[in-house]
Amino acid sequence: MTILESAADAIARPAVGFTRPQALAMRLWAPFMIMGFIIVVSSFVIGIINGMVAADYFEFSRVEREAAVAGSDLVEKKVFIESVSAWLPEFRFLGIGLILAGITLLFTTILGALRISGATVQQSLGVTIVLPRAPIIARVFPILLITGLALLLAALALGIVQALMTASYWDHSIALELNPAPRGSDLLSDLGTIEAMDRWLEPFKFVGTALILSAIGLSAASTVWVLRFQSRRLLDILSGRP
Amino acid sequence: MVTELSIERLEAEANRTSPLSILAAFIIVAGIALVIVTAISWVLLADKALDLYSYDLAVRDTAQAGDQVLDTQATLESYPRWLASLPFLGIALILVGIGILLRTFVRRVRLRMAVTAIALSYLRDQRPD
Repeated sequence: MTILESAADAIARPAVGFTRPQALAMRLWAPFMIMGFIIVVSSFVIGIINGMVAADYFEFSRVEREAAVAGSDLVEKKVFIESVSAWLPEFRFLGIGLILAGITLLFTTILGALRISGATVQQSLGVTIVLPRAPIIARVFPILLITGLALLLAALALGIVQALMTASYWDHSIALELNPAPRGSDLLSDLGTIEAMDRWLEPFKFVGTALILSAIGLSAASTVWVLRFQSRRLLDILSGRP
Repeated sequence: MVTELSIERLEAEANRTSPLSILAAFIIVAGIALVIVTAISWVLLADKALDLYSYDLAVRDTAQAGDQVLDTQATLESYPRWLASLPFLGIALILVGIGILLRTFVRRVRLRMAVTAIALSYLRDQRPD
């Protein structure tokens, strides 16, 4: 077999394949990105519907809106507007988070492709295949990715809980029940809980997104690290070092 | 013969512009356009807000159906509910475009592997001992 035939043979039958996480990443990046994009498009459509309901609701004067009783069309519109506004932002961020997770998985696929390409070049040259030991950044970024996604899912779940509480609160007449609610009443207590939840839930989605962006950064840094290793290995091979 | 076929095929692959790259460019530009449209829309809404709050509280609270004040208020309450999702849609398009470009990067890595393996093997063969 000639040298070039051995190179072609190494390319066709590489001695090393993807690791299990890399093989999983190769299968999952597209579904993650597609799911994320569908979620973002859905949230846009739901936002349009919410906007149309709000336009209908605010066509009525303030007096009419506040005097509407529980079960009336106006109160139902108010319930819809407020409850959708409670969970929709978390839903949007989940969509963006899934797309970012898809990008992280793509970087993992690139790392796998670099692993196979580095081993194949060494195989075609007939030298011992030396693969780098994964640096700490390559072991940390999957943890950041999973934690970020978990936070975004938790934010959505809590957003849905908040939406249910919001729907229950606004299903009352504003002028007759909500505005005159006295201190210590269930209604005022519910409002306090909803407002408090609004504030402490806010950072969840940003922290989750930040963790996934950090995972992208670390996976990009791992790629740079591998490329540097491959350059050093090639130089070692060319200088005759084992 | 094996060498010529391999190098020709690799050369064709290296010179090929992936249609995915062109698609990614269009998607990224569309995303940026959406974000810019959103920014302009928010500025226009700010103008509406200035308009609404030029009326005092009594006028705003007692506005009747069909009044200009109530129409402006309805616009200010309804538009942000879908406008808020538009920049996210733009960002999602940009990220999807980046993802598609990274996917073409994987193919380039494989091509680089093949060319490097063949080139180094050839150079080692040619090197005087």
